[in-house]
Amino acid sequence: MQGARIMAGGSNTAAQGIITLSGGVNALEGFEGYKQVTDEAILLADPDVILMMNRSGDHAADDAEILEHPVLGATKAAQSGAIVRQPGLVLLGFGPRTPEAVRALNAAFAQVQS
Amino acid sequence: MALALSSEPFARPQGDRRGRARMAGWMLALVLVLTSSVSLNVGASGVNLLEIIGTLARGDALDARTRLILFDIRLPRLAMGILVGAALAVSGAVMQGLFRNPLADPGLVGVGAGAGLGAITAIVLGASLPVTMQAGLGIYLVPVAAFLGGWLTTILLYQISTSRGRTSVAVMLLGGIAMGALAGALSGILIYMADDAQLRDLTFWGLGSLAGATWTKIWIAGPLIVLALAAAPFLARALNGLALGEAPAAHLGIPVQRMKNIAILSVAAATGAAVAVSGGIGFIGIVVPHLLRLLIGPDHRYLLPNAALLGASLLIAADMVARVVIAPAELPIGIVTATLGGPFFLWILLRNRTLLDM
Repeated sequence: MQGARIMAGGSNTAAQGIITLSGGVNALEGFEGYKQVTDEAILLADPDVILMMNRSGDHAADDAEILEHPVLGATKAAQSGAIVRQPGLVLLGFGPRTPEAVRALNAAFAQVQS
Repeated sequence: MALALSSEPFARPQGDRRGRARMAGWMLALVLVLTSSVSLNVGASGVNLLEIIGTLARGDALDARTRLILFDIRLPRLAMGILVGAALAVSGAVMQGLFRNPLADPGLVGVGAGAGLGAITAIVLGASLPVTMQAGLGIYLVPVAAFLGGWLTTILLYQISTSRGRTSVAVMLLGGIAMGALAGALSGILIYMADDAQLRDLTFWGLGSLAGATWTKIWIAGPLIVLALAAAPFLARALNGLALGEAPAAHLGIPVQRMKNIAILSVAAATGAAVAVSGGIGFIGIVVPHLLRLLIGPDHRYLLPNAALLGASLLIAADMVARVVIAPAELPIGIVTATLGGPFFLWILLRNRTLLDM
């Protein structure tokens, strides 16, 4: 997230891989790789869970900022507070710590469904 | 000795294009209204104006989602497109007049290079800022840094090119190139330090986009741009005089130095704010004034307001393409303005090769 612009992972990304592995479905699948997405598309996709890297710097956005954002704030995920943050390497590295990310994400999915 | 009086009424000088310019003004205003309504009408979601008007006509209230799309997504984006487009086009026209050079664009006063450096610094080094500052600026860190970078570069360049109370346009031009190279080198160092994700951010920032237009951004950038644009009409006569050269302009009674100050400051403010909220959008600033000169002639009194209208329409149209062609993803708008505008501009040039003189 940069200056209220949103980058999202589409199909064939490590982000989608980890979502699938955790038993979820990527909400934005119409494109390949990481792209900037239009606000309206996010509203249409209306994700149940928002998954992001908790790296510091310009990617960081706390819950208040997400709720403040006109579009992200209106999604189901933001309303129910289902925002999962993991370090970039844990989330997308597909290394020894991958199960950590899967467990966290899966817990979020389970919570949303119940 | 009898005075030979012509019986003909005093003819209007040849090449008077004032009528045409006024006409063009109305036409462009109409075009802007049309593009704006079409822009409100299209988007990744199927919401369109006809439906909305239909709902309202039946006396029903709009549902929350439609309202969100219309008032919090499309409307701020449209407003930002109008502001940024007008800012870039008018700044371009003022710069070309001030430098008496058809290649001048807002980037010449160092805004573009400085803003780019500011943005890159924020993207790459933002993480090492004190936590309180990060929390205070949050996701607005990059735009704020871009504006500061652009503004500081312009002030510095202005100081360099001003000696004994006189600003030398030639020094400013060359100094701008030097500063641009320097900013490019510093950016290069930062790019070298950046990691993969940061590199992607940098690239996208450089291509520009109207995405992420929020009312907050408009309330911050809007007043600056509007104020700077409001100064433009007062510059028009002076810029016309300046076309003859600096000394003749001074003999005509134009306060050349004061006019330069106003021009440079307003261009820096307008372009700085525009670049900060939308990233680097090329092409509009240099092409819009040229298109208009071919159409209505070089008189700045008409050129400046028409440039604002045409710049705004073009940017909105380009943004529409950027939003829709590859939805749900979106294209950086810099790509659209250049791919659609470049060939079109060449075509106009080829048709009017003999006409093009500043």
